Amino acid sequence: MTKKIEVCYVAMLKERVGRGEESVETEAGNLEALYGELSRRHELPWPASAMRPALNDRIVSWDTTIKDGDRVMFLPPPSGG
Amino acid sequence: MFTLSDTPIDEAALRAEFSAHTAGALVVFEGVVRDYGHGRKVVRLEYEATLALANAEYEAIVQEAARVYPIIWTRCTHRVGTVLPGETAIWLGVASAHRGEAFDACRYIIDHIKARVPIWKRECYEGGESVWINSP
Repeated sequence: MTKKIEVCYVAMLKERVGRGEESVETEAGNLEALYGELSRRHELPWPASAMRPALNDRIVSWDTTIKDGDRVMFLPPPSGG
Repeated sequence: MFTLSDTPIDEAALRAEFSAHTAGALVVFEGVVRDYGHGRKVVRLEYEATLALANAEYEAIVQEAARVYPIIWTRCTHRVGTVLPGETAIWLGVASAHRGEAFDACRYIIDHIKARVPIWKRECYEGGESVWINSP
């Protein structure tokens, strides 16, 4: 089933993709599959293992299922503080 | 409490938020921007963050710390946007009854903020080049 997902990009991901947000229609079942799809589409050089996935403002695990209307972010390693 | 600031941090205002008379020690950590990084002259830093995620992770860190240390009060604010050398990028205040606990708790919290809170820093060098720190 096709789902419409809002993807927010940050930091080097935003630079690579060329935008901060993207509305994606996908049949990916979980965050890992979604990242794989976006990674291929945007030729992202970073594996999923380098990121932490966030779903609707919460950091979650890669096997978390996604549904229509979800908001997703892929978080690179932090460098604040 | 955790906040983001796109203007210079007002250290006095943050300090004024503390008023717990049961605390005998307030330890403040200020992370200040250096003018060098990776062997190069830094002209500015650019920070990016998302408040909801950053605050959630900060609160988780503080709860963990509170299980180990008798924390009375914490407060943290982090800059976003452009920050210049010499400016404060992060202000963290931790209060406890005694100084040993306050120092230890502050160290714990700042170490975990740096490792876990979703904030990203780009270091911009003289000459125009820049790099995202910790980029995978």
